[in-house]
Amino acid sequence: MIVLDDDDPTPPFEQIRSQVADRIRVGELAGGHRLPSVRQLAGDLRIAAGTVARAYSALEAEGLIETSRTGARVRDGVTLPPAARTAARRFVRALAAEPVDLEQALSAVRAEWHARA
Amino acid sequence: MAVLALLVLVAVGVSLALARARRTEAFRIAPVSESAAAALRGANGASRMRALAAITASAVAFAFFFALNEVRPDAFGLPLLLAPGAAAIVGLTVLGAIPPARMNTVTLSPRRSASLAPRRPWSFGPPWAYLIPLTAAVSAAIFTTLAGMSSTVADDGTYRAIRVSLGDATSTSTPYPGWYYGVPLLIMTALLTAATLFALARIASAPAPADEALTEADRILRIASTRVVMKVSSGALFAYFGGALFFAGQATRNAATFLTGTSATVVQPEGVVGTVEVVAGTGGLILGAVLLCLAAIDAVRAPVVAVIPRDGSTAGTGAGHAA
Repeated sequence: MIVLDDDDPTPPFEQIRSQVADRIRVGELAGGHRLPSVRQLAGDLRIAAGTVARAYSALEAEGLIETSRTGARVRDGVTLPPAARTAARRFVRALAAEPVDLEQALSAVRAEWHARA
Repeated sequence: MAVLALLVLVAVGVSLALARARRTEAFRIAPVSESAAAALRGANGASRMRALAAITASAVAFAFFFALNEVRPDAFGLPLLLAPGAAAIVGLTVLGAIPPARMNTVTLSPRRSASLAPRRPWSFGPPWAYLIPLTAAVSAAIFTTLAGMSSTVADDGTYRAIRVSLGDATSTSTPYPGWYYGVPLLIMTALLTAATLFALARIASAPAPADEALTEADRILRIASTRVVMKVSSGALFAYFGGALFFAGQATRNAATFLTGTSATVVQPEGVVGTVEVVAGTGGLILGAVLLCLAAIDAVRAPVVAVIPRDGSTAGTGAGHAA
């Protein structure tokens, strides 16, 4: 399931792209998994087909999915290593008692990521 | 007398199927909130209206072909043979043409969810539900082709007779499903397959409700609609294939029976083949009629039974009351 929130300032296509990308990277959508058609997803989310098509194009540009005349499929070998998921789980648990939202938590990750580089 | 026996067998078949169905109908129960139950009632009503429109169109098509058979005796029963299939094609086309019921709550929530699983025409039924009619359709096409190849020209020049030889003597019998009946039956089988796919595709492609609380009810509605479509399609196929097989058997048996004085000689294997065709054809006719009756019963009942849990939750199927 993906959720589209009209109250979220993030553009709808980006909400779709990021949620699908997350599910692919953590392995919830395995390689070869066929995604719903643009028309199906647009109809279910009550949005224009172009919005979904834009999200799928972005996912294809990232190398996460491949599209053909028969539809869109998740590419093989794009899942994150299991260690990344384990570390993320630990990180989220550690912050459970802290007054930190997702964006703030990601800021901390970004800062540490850049510091490592 | 034979028609009465068939009707009794069909009634027994429908009763047995309904008795068995009572144990498997639990799939229709969907736990929903009060607000979602209102949306579900609307969808149930719209679904039944679609079904009624399709049944009415089917009945009109059947009556038309039946009347055509009465006024055109020179068609040698072809309209009657085509009636079940034509009625099913019209019904399925109407069912597919009317937009499926949408399960929407009064106000569109700013938060909407959607599944990342693609919906296909064959997503809402077990594989055997599609394989059985598909196998029957292929069998019907093979039988019709073989019957056409084994047919011979009748007195009026049409391929609707079978000829059996015994020494120098020959015996010809009609009506036999040769090319005269076979070509329209093959075309109708192709049209029935197309109409079935069209109706199934419409069920699958209808937008899902934006409210996550209605996801399960939506899945049940699609399963129930798919069941009706597959019963109509399979029922019509078995009915006209059974009819063709029955008449093929009768004609084959008649042609294989040679009267010499007071004794009768039955040429083999035609005699046995004819008997097997009559038995199999009768079975197909009964099965087809049972499936069509069950489809009509299914079509007019509420596809989803909403149960509002007493504690207001929609997560489980615990205690609640039907809406």
